[in-house]
Amino acid sequence: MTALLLQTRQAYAEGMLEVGAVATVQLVADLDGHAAQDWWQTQVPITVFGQFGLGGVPVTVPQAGYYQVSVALPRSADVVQQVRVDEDEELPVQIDLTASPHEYLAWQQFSGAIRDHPYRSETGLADTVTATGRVGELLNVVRDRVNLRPAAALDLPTVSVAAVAPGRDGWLQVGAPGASGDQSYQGDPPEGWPSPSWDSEFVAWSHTPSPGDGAELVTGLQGQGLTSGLEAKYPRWLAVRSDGATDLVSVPWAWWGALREDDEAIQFFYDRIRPSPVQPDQPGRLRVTVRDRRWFGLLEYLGAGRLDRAVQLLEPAIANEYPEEMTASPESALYGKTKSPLVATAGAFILIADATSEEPQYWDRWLDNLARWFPGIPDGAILLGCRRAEQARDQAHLEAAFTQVSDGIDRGIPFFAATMRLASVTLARMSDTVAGAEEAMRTIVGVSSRVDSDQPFTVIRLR
Amino acid sequence: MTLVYGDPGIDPGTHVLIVGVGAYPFGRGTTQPSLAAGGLSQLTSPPVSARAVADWFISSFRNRDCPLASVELLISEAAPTRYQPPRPAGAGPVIPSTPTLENVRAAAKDWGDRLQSNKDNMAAFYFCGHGVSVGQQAALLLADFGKPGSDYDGAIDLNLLTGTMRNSPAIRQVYLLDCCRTRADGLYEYEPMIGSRIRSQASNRGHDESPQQFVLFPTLDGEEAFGAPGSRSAFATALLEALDFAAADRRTGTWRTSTTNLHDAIDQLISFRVPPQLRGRSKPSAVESTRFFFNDIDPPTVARSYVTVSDVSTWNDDATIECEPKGRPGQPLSDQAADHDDGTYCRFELDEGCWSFKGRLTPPHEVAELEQVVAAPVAYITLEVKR
Repeated sequence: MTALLLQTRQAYAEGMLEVGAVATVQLVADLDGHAAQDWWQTQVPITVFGQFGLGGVPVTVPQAGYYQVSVALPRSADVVQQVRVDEDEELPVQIDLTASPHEYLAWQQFSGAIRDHPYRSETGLADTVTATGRVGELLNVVRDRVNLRPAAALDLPTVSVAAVAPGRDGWLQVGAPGASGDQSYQGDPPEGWPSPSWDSEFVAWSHTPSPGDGAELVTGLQGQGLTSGLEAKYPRWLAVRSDGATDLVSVPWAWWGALREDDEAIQFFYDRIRPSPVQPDQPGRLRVTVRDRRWFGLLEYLGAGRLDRAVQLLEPAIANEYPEEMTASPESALYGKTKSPLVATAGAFILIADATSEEPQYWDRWLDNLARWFPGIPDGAILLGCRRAEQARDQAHLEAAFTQVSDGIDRGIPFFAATMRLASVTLARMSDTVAGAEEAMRTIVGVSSRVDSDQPFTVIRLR
Repeated sequence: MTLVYGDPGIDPGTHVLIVGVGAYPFGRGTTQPSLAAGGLSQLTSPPVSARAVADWFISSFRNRDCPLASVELLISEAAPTRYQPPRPAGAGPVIPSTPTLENVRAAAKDWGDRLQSNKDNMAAFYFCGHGVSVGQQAALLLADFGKPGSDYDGAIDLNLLTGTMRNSPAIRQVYLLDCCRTRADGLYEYEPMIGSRIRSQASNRGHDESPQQFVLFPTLDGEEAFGAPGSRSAFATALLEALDFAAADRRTGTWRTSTTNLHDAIDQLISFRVPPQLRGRSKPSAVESTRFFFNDIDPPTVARSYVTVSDVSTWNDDATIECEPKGRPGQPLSDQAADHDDGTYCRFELDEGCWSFKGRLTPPHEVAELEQVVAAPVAYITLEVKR
């Protein structure tokens, strides 16, 4: 058997991503360097190992020869290597991802949330640009922008529990001009909030519920609410303020429910230098990541807008969770048996966005369950309504779909940024013929225009 | 006049709507700059880019399942100029209509109406001009943007466009948005919804297949990144190279491009022309990145090979790249950076096989040599700058 053993490693990272990225292996030439006559390419989900991980993902190839191996990173250029494998050889292919001096953000380096070349000046080897012509002009523009950025705030950002009104009022509250000055976002930090790790560029916090708390948080999503103690520790919304700017973060505390590995965590990190895309003239940007062995790669592809890659990781992510269930019933593998309904929601979005048929699929009926059983997840009802809008055969169906979307909006702002985008597009589709759709669009636009669209979870830069 | 190509006998077919906005009558430097549009500079790339894209569709686009059926073209420029369609033979030149909201709506109505005829029609939309985007809102600014009394109407709201088109029976839809991004994004501070609907369409799809939309909205940050004055935009150049060869593969047995390949190829080709800090200010949404085949190409006979260096700040007009075949006879080749003033690359058309690459930069910078097998249709080689 001729094979490549893909060993992908992220320097300084803890643990590993069982389902981390998509690798493409393509036959380029035979052993003599002659171009391959027959097309052969495969795309496989790969494990990404941390600093001390061992092992690799075997990829059987059809023949000896030259192969191009590309690992698709969520936000950075693909890492590409060309290798030569002999007949019946299992060739280890070591793919070392860029290290970062911000060792506590190693997985964020993998996802591309930390800048591409962390050991280099942002304009290159030297501050003096020697490139000429058009590219020289562009690099001078970059250098000037870098040098003329407002200085990063000296103080560390403050973190507060944010009080967001329930339901539709929350949309209006958060989307209002001047919202950043609202006292609702200037309270105390959550109970037990950790001290940050930080350096001149980033500030980071890691705060994750225990398994017991996680299970209760899932119950809370069923609409009974949380005990005051849990709510104080794990508020739905956090406000992170720095230098006059406020980011509002929807936190998926219940992500793991009662099932979390020790190296998995929710991390918040603040880029003190580079701006949010929502406010490019001001330094500072908050990101939230869910470092889950099986879902982190998929979530980051989703945040980066690469649905095609997220789709390729969905089935292996589910299969790794519950291989027996996957065989017996993908439906139950995705809902109920997985960690929590937030995981199922992420999976649901991908299935809906990737659907090629409006015919009922195996996962359609549990969209109803997700919406009905977890009113604490606005995404459930919104996704159900969007899917039903796609399946609508007549005006009555379309109006019923709108009712679902509207119910979802009434439940509050979604956990996932992509849900909000899908809602906007669906309402736009309906707004010509369904009463109330235009108004619903206007309700959400104040928030959707402030969402950081480069992240999987909802992070809003307040006005 | 907006229809510059039409073949009514084609069904299903690919129907294209192209909008290039260079002149903004209410923008900067005019006699009547308005409050909303006064910050918009006049652009010279969009008319050139829109014409180049129209030329490509009419003369080069091929899709065996869905041939070209129509092309609508609207252009605004300082001095309106005729457009000569490359075919059919004998086609006369036309002066494209100005892309005001009214004219774009009329063209979009015709475009959308043609798409109704068959679910297997494919829709293609290309816009080049100023664009604004904040968060998940985006608008493409038309020629009459900022007109007093309807200040924010002269624009295409992107959500309204793609949302409405999900009601179209045409399953496959491609939106290529070649936007110059400037500080005009600040308009969203005053008005969260900018732009208008350019087409109304009730849902009448008539079949069970979900719409497959692909939206590419790379948006290069600033006029400098957008394109050199009077030339095709960086995105348009990358797009046409991707369509011609770089995004094609033969996984189906014949050479075809796909939407996700287009995304990857354009990303790579733009990377030679625009520094990363000026790229990707907004990302395509995962809602609209479905994969389907777009166009067919003839089997490539060479590997178009782009060679660059790992640190582009060391690049200048004196850079030279050389390559020679390994293990077989052949002449060494050389290319000069000065011949590619739009980016940091040298380019070769190589026969497939193993090649050795080396480069020369202005001292003290040096690059390491590299051997690599190149294969059609495209190869990307990066030589490491020694430290």
